[in-house]
Amino acid sequence: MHNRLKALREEAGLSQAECADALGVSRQTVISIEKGHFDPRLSLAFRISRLFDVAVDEAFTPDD
Amino acid sequence: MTTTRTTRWTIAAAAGTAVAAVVGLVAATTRDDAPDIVTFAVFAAATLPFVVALVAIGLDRTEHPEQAEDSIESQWTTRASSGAFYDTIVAMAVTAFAASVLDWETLPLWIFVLLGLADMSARLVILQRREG
Repeated sequence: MHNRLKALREEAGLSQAECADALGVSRQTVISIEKGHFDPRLSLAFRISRLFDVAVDEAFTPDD
Repeated sequence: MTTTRTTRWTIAAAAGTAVAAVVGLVAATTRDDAPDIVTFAVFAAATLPFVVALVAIGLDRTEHPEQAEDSIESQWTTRASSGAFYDTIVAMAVTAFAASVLDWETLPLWIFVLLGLADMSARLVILQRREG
């Protein structure tokens, strides 16, 4: 699954640590999502979409 | 709450020492195949490292333990433990087969415990380096 977390975070002017704190996860988790190594669960995907005020499918898109 | 590494290992060492002492005392009072002090020392020494490691691992939740299921660390642990479990089962099956062919009377189960722990640790390190 592709995601725009890095772009959204940078547009919002957040560091990875600040983003992690706002989402309630570790910085390592944010790094892994941005690298595409970790597809978050639905609950975290919704927290990300709320944090950046975008729809879930604007932040995450399937590979195909 | 995030615990520092020093705090975590201090708690783990204290808990390990306490549990190891209790296990050693129980063994020394119930077993009569060796002098009490020897029984105490052997069981306490065998218990100590495992309890220390278990407590240290249990306290290692990095940030935000309430969201543990959303973390990559949780996924790494799950993947490493399931891989190690599969490896251990295969190793035990192969060894059991070899034991039946070679007519071994006993199997050293502790070896599989050590293999499983080492396997899981190696898998965790590899995952952290590859995906971290």
